[in-house]
Amino acid sequence: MLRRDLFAVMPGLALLGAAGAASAKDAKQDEDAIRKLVHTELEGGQAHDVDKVMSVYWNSKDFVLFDPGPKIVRGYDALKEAWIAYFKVFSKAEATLDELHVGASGDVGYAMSLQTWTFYKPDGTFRKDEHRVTNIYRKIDGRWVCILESDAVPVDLKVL
Amino acid sequence: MTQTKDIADLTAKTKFKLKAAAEQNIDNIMSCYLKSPETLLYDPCPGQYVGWDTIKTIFLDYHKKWPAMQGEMQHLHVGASGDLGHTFSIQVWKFKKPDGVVEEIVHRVTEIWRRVDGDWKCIHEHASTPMDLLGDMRTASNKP
Repeated sequence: MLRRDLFAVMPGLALLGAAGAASAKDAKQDEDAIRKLVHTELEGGQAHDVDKVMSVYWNSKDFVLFDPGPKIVRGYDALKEAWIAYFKVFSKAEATLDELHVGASGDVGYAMSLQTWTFYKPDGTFRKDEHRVTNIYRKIDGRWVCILESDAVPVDLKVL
Repeated sequence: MTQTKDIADLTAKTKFKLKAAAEQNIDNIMSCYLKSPETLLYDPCPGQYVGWDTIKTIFLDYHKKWPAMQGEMQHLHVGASGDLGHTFSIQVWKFKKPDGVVEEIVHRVTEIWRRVDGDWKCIHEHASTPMDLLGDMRTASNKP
């Protein structure tokens, strides 16, 4: 298991005194905000709540999603369409957050996580996959938003 | 440190890393990663690789499996703030197997960098290959 403090604070931060303590507090608040966004996305995805899911993303044409399939989704509007399409195909989804690491510095933050998703179709069939998810966040107008999501499912080793 | 310089440095570092990977120069490759037991790699294969030493082993294994590689980077995006940077790109790789067969695979690569002692080091890399999720789980044959 990774220790989150490697990514969260620079070595020796404790020696920086009051300014360092304030920075550490800010970093902790930023990490908490990012952690909350990851949970919000998972909750929204399982609840088929498109507004909740979309609340974590940057409302920009420059947003990018590398999703597990061949498509690269570019832009907030295209992402919203992709989520709505996914909600139509899969009637139910269950997710567990198996591992999560977050960090932030200045206006850049990140989350990397292992997630297990089970997607059910209306006919009862389902598929269960381990996803590796990397999110990059920027703080824009004081609010953290995801500007890039890389969501991948491991490939069959036999094809490589 | 200006953001312009940070972005220029990260761009150069990302290109250096790709060139080192194509040349299978293990020292140059590994110089890009933070030498830490907690550096994390998600590559296209199952599992995750934790730690600089583990990542080095993985690269050495790949070099045995594919004696020659060529990589081309497209759509590089770079950002930085404070001591964190991020890059993401599309990379088209050609892998030559020992039997001479060449496989072309599209990778989507996301990297997170931390400035350590003035130098940018990769603390996390996520390389993935698009898949046909509704098919047989083979890689999807797409172009970026």
